[in-house]
Amino acid sequence: MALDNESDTGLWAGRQLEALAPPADWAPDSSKALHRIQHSSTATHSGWHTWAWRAGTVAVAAGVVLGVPQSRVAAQRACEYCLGKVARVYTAPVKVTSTRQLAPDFSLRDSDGRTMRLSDYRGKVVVLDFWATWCVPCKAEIPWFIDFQRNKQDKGFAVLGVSMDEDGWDVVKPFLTKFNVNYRVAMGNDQIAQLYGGLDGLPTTILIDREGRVAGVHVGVVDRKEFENAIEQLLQAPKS
Amino acid sequence: MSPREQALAGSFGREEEAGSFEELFRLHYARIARLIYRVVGNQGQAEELAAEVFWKLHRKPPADFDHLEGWLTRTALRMALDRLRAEGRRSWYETLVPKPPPAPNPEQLIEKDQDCRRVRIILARLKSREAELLLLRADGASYQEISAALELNFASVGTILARAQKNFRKEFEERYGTR
Repeated sequence: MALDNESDTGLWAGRQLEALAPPADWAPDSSKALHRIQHSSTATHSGWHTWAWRAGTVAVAAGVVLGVPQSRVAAQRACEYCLGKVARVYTAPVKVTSTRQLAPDFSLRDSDGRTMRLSDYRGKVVVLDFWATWCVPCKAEIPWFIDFQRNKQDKGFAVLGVSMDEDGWDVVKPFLTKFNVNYRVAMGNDQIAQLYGGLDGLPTTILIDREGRVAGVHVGVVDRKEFENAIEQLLQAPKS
Repeated sequence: MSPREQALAGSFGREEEAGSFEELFRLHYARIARLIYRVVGNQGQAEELAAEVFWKLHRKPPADFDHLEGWLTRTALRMALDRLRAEGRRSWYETLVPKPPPAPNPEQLIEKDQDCRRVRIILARLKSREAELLLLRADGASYQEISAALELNFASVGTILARAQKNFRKEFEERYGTR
């Protein structure tokens, strides 16, 4: 059936969505749910007790581990192994040049109403940051980006923010003012999210080299030092 | 918001009025759970998520108590849609593992289940605002109730709803063909 008219589409959509209705005889058990919430509330109030036990257990375990030489060596190896794993996941390695793909170009309106095109930044190293005002890890990274923009823009570097806030400029503009964001921020949409692979989470940060190619993609917060190293590495790479 | 809810909302948050939360809970829990069911399609999950909505209210009540009912509806729909999307991602990984053969079921039941799953997949792909609007409308909410719950201009509810229905149908037909 083709799209005939609005009322037809409305009826059609209504019919499809009607299938989702809960069973008529289902009565959600509010007493049980309320009891669960009250229990959680009590658990939170008596939280200090639980935490005291946890702290005591950790202290005893640490004493045992550090007191016995064999277990100390084993613990050290385990820590090194875990740190190595975490570093591999969260550090920002830069892809070798031959494996880099061209970053998809886009054209979006920035907070001043001007058009922001990625292709306008060809020749610069770019950090393209997909973020949102409600995203706590995004907020952790923003002060770094402000510093990077301030300290590295003269070397041919730029941060471009793409906000994925559904509530639009009404929430984003006050945020930019409040945090003195000194780089360009545009409003994102579903198309750009698809263009960059659907965005598995926020923040998603794309490192783009001077030739406009993706040198790294990071989902979640990246260690500042590693991030800065990656940017420096791209800035110092010989221009092709 | 009814005068009764206003009275409850006014007192909620003060320790000496702990009973107000319970009353508010009893007043809205079933409605919120049934609304969430439309999205997640599972009674246990719907009840669990509905309890989470109230837990969130209990832990960190919104600053604006004038639109508490809207806050509950909005939060419930957002949490349910988030869960639906997370389930979608998980089920993609699960497709990599061979599944056991399905248990025998009446044909009609399977067909209905498949219809619901398709509708939910499309809802998860729509913009949150559009999915929320469609779900509230399907739940029988009036334009006024929708405008209050989703903080939309009353005059534009019809237009946005029509657009949401059009996008829903377009996405559906692109993915599953016309029916």
